[in-house]
Amino acid sequence: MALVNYASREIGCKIVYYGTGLGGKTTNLAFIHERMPQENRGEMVSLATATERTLFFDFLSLDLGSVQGFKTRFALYTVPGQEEYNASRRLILNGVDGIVFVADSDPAKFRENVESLKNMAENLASYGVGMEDVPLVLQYNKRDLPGAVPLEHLQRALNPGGLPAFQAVAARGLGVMETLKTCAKGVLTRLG
Amino acid sequence: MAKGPLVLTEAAVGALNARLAQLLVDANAKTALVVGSSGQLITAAGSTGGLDTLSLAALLSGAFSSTRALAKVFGERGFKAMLQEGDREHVFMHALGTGDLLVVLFGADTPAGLVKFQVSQAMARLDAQVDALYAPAPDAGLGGAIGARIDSLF
Repeated sequence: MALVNYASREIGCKIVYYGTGLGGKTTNLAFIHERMPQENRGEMVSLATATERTLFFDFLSLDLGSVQGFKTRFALYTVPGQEEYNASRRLILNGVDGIVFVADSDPAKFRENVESLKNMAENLASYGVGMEDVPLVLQYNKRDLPGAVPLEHLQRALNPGGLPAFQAVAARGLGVMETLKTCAKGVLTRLG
Repeated sequence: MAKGPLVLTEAAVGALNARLAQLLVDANAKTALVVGSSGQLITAAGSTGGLDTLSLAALLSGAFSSTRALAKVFGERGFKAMLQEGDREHVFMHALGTGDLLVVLFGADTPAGLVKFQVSQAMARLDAQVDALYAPAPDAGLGGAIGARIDSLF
């Protein structure tokens, strides 16, 4: 749930990066952390396993400047993509204001993408929230993979409603900021 | 349906901070936070110098939520509080009726029992004050143009 604080003149919003394991969610956050000026971001917090797989979540706070005299502060989270960590994913979706769904373009991950999107809808429903209630942006990551799933196949399977979608190579930063900007804009527009 | 924004007025935050400041005096503690159930920092009172309170709020919320889930695994239904004891710094967390979290940070020179007792004494009033934050809010007054303005933020 977004927070509008007249005392501190701040707006606080929560964006969650969702998707399959090893799909590039943490890579998105790491690039944003690297790209944003130090004065506009906090430190990136990662609760990860010894092999750097996300165990609980990654967290990054961003100050995206002011609108209407309010500082806009975004809390970015990733979820652990591995199937067995669904309880963690559900906890992290609590109070979400916007979602970036990171789909893996690897053909071997096609079915996992579909399952992950379905899982996200189920977890949102556990809070009484429908997919249409939250600004959702899709990111088709790893577009540089040889044999990447054609864009139209991904769109047909994951985005029949024509939500905003971006192609990305998060490891090189391509498409990362555009995705975040569109999601943040969607969140703030709903507040306005 | 997703909830609308939680709108905090200056008066409400001021009153809540005054209550938290009194709790800090009574409990001989350093810092008090109210953290939303989604991990957002609602307000902070006392000493916050050097603390990244936004990251702290996310971690505290995550720690409490996961421990509550663990309690459920063991059949506990009334899990409301947890204490983290460090060598120098301690953290006491107590669930509020809204699902949000009261967090008190205190040093090793303060007995944990004193903090628990003072929190229990203050809880009814704090619960009422935090609950009142969720009353129907005034128009945030942000205007419809807010989405267009974000282009300048990147």
